[in-house]
Amino acid sequence: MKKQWTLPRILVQEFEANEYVAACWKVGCKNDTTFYKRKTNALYGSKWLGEEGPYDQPFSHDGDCRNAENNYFQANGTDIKFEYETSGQQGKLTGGFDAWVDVDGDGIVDTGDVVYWYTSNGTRRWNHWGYVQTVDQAHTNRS
Amino acid sequence: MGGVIVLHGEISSCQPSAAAKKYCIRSGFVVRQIGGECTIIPLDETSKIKNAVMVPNDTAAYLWNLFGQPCTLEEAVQRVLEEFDGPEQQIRADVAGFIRESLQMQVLEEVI
Repeated sequence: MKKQWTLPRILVQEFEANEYVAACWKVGCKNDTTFYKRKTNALYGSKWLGEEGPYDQPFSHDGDCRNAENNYFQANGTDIKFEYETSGQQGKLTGGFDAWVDVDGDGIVDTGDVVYWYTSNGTRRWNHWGYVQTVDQAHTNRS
Repeated sequence: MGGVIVLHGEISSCQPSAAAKKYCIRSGFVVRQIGGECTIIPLDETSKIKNAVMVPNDTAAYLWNLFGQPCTLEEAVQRVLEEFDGPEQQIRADVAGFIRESLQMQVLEEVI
């Protein structure tokens, strides 16, 4: 039996590019450098593209960078960009992405991988590293 | 057919050469069944349609598959008539419209 002919139609559903992130993630800083302790605890060593500092006054990572919710990244697959950190002390800190360690070697930025990035207030630079944490789809703009 | 094709759209032509034109879906699209529904995903960044998913209805999905291989308007109409019930004139107009709009959206291309 033949099917009934109807007008052929194609519905085109457009979406924002940054919503096309299948797996969304976030990162909180784990670095422990301070004014007194200037050697990083980063598991994979220093992969930053710039020097942290200057350590000319009290300096630490015990601030808002610890909280992954404050660190805004944009990621399209393995193309990662750091946008900014919302800091209670420093305001909105810009910066940049430095490195990604694909810990499980699967070619995907996913849980347990390590990301290196930095923030700067124009005169001082903070180097950060942290573990990728997978979050839910409600955070599509966060990664 | 005598080379006469009556259409509502711009493709309407009495010229045999127009009727002999073959069309094919451009590369850069993947078709997947998602939830039992045919879904077309444009992968080519230069495509006119990007950051989108395309959901054809049954007849558009049939034509999409048909134009997976180079096919003339007339061949497509004949294949549709074998598969579907409907007024031939309407089917012919609809297939021509599908070709016209797909060419405009750079989904379909003319092939030799």
